[in-house]
Amino acid sequence: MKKIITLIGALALLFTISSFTSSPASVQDGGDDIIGLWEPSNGKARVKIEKIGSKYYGKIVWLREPIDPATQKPKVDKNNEDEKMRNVPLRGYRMLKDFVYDEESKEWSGGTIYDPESGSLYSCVITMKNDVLDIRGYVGVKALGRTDTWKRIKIKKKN
Amino acid sequence: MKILQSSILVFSLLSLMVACTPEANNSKEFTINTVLTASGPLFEGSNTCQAEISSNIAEYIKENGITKEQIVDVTLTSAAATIDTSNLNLLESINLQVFSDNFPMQNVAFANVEDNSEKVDLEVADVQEQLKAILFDGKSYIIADATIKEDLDDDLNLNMELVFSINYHKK
Repeated sequence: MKKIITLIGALALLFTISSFTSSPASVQDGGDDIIGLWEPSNGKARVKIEKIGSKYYGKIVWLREPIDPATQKPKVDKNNEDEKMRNVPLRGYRMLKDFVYDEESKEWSGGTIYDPESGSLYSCVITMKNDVLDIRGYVGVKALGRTDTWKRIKIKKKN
Repeated sequence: MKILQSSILVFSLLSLMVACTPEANNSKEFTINTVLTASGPLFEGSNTCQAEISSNIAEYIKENGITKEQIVDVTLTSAAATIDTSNLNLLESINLQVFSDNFPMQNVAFANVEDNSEKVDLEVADVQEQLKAILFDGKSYIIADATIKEDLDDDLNLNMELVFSINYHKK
């Protein structure tokens, strides 16, 4: 009987330890839910969001039309205010920068979003609901911004 | 007469403000050598090579008798990457960015990589902001978005040499 109680006790302890160590959710920051591949509503690009240091960044990893019809070469950041940076390819470009997750408001804020089509940079705040991102870009006042909806793209793992 | 007096007063104040604005009249070179790594396996396209900089810029200026307050700005003057011989024809481009926990990321240099280049000199950005703040911040990072032409099973390492100019005014 004593052995059975000891065994049950050991199993309970093992279960408790494994529930704290094996679940990815338990070790992840809530902010990490944003990590992954996303597609803006216009479907023109796909953006991979990753965490570097304590902040989140998103870079363009796929373009529906990767070739610039004017040059017949891969699209570059031709609208950059810095002339020397106008050859940076758009594929690989970080359009979301410096987002910090706030556990209380459940939003990623403090960052910027860059529109390569116009060369404009906007302040930005991101919220997520059911694997959909609301990306709100604005200048100055958040209330005067515009929101775009991005959907998550599931990645098929290579064998 | 009153208008003349006001104009003289405004002109004098403006002259005083311009005179008081610190202007860098000295500079020192400061070099960071670091290895940026992207952990493999890597897929074709843009991959992030990164390194945390433990910049000893604070010690460096102290050794040279410069205080942080004297520094007007810090600018990147050159950036060069050395590529492993095994990856000579793999890289397409390198886009270098710096940031810290408290200051935003900015592009500082870029290069399209020619085939068989062991050493790549990156073109340095004209627009550089807050580099001083980034380098003096607690934790700062350098990342290189390296676009590769094909999948790579191993890690990708870029040996970077970054030369900064510390521009300061005399006491």
